[in-house]
Amino acid sequence: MPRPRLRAAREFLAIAIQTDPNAYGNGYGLTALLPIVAGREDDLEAHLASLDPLDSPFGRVPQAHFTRLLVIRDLVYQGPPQIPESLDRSYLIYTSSFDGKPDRYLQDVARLAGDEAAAVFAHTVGFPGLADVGAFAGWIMKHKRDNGYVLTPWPFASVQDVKEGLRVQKGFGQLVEGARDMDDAELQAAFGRLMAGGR
Amino acid sequence: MAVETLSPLAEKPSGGNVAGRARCLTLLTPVRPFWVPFLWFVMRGARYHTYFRNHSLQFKFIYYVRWAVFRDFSESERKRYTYLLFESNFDIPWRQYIDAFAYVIPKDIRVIWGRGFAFPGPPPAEPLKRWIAMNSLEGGHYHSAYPEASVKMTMSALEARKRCNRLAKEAKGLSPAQFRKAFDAAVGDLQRHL
Amino acid sequence: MTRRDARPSLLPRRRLVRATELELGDLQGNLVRGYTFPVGRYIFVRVADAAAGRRWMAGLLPSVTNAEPWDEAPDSTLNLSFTHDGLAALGVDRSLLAGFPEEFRQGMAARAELLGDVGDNAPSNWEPGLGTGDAHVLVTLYAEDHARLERARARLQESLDAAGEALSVVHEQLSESLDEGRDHFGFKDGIAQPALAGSGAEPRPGDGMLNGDGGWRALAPGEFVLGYHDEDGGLPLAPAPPFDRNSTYVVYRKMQMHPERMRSYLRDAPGDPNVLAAKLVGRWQDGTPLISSPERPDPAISNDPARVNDFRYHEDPDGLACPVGAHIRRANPRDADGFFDGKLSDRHRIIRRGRAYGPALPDGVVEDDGADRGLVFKCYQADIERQFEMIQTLWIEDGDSFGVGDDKDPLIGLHAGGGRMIVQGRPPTVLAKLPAFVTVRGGEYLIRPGMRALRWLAAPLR
Repeated sequence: MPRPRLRAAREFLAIAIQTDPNAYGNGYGLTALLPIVAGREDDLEAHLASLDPLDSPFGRVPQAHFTRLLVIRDLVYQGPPQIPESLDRSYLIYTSSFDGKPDRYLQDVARLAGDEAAAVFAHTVGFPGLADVGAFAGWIMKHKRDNGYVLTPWPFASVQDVKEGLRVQKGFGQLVEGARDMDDAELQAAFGRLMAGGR
Repeated sequence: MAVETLSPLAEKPSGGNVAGRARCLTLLTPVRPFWVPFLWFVMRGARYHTYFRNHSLQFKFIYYVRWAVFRDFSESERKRYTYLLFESNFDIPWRQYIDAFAYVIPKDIRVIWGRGFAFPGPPPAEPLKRWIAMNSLEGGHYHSAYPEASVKMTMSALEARKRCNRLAKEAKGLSPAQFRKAFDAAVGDLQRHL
Repeated sequence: MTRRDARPSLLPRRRLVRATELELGDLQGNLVRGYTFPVGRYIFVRVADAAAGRRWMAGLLPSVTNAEPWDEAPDSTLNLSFTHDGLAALGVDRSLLAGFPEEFRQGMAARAELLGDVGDNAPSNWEPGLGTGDAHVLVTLYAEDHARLERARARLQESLDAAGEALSVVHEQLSESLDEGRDHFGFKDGIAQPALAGSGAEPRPGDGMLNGDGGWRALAPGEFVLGYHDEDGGLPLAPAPPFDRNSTYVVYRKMQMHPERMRSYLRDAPGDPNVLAAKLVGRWQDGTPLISSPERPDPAISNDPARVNDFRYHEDPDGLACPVGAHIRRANPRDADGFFDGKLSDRHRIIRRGRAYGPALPDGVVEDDGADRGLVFKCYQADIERQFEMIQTLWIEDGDSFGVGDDKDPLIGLHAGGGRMIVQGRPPTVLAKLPAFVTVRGGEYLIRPGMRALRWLAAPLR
């Protein structure tokens, strides 16, 4: 069997035997529903809106690919024949797709995401603070909901793999653009520097 | 709906679900009682075959996607209905995202959501987009670890790194002229991945 | 005209489209079948007084050309379209205006960042009269020759003078086709046009959309005209009557072209300039598609209407015949990889009715002679955001849909000196440091109402 097919088969098998429905290869999809303290929804919304997607406290956790936090105040009524129902309270939906195990991820959030993250969770019921990373991780895991299915095109690539890949891709592209204007020795040296740059 | 009116290359953040090229769509919709066990079975079973996976990933614009099914919103709040939480992270405007599913794999959409209340189509796509706009959860905060990279760019980057590592290994002990040839070979291999 | 089409199972199901004849008498001309007159003028008028504006329009109405086929070509044609500010200036009430789509209400200038109109293309650099809210009514005149055109222009001026201060011309553009229908880069332009069901025009193979059976079929009229069913099976979103039927949205965009930059860039690039130029565009200069003839232009193809546009991309996934980022492959991806036999490109077609403007740059000149030349780009669609804007933002100013990441369209993308295109091949050719070959000098979003709507708009204010 050609190598890419063999690898794909191995990866498929590795995923098939995983028993945790939230795991997908090396990735994990955390889905948590945190009740919000009554009356604090607006403050939490405003605080979330003030965070910068391109400079997020949750981005300080190096293994996190994607993270979303949003406030849900009520359910959307779909129409007959559904019987309308409401939420008793608002919830913070906290989802993250990251590499590795959830306990490790949550401890890293507690350690690295700092005061801004604490300011977000402070609006939720029962938030134990971030000082005790184990307590924080346990509290979030208590509010976890299992996913039925999680999917990504790169279940075995970490955030670091992606970032390093992008760095090499960009650098190689620049070399390719400038290759005509370099002599062979210069090109070889430049390529060497590019590949060494990851370390 | 404040999802995307920014070009993929816009610098400033917009709303709670755009980060560079990445967009997030989150839906929370009730499932009809008789459909719940089937849905649970379909989802848990998806890991063991490639049908759903291939259908979803063929478009090459999904970063991460998940479906969760639950009735308990908290220890003290169990709803009458079971709810399906859908969260997708993708790299094209949400309307084009829905078009892709509605026009290319409408059956899959109907299997997952078709037993929801008042679920429209697809095909056609326009009523489905209105339904999604009605149900899309807005606001909040969103982060991507690599916002400048699309799904295809990421897949190409992983490929580029592999090929360049191979070139780096080969390059040891090559003369500059020999290296140029090896370099050109790598460029040929990576011409669709830059 | 009944629609015969194969119905593969994955095509959208729809309520059976009425085999509708388009109401050619109510549609303005040039939409369904393009005028072939070689010279034209685009006159943007500002209306300072609604009543005077309406009286002026009422005077023009008998001259407005509709879409009915003519036995004998008229001396000149006249058509009218309106910006959102123009409708407001003519006294259309707020609640009706609120029913127009957001992009139309905002106007092209306000959406500059979205469209990539920054730097040299930014509205702050646009020509006077465009993008400032002063362009209200666009009067387009076409004629067979300059003499007839100037007569029509003079008649228009009389009507404007009669209104005194109430009407003023804020921007005007003369256009004139170049020899053989070429553009200023030397390429035969405007070859591919969508075939419209019910138009009465004989579509060429390749004009329409793939029918899933190896052939082509015309597009549903609702993709371009409000009030008819579109490819999704419903009626396109439309404003309130009378604009809901037989209207279309117009994108007007003056694109200055710099053939001297193209010539000097290709002269210094590695390879045969004619081949490279064809690789940028996706066709040879005579119109032969690269897909149909990758090695050389072929007059047998380019002169044959049945072949000049009949090609598809699915057999060239690696871009070896036609680069994946070539201009025509971006602007109309057909069944290229990732578009699923056209399912994801079919709803993003536009009808182009632009014209070249300005004197041709003499052969061999590679310096800027200071002349203003280029293309008045004009296109029609039922939904500016889904059609023009999507092409512009996702396919022209970005390359990810084609797997080329941030690379912009080589021909019309805003490169700012650092642009790149990889011409796939064995070996590939890398074109680096692409300069901008085109500069956007201004534009507007307009609506081109049907004749009934024009009469309604020209009626005296109550």
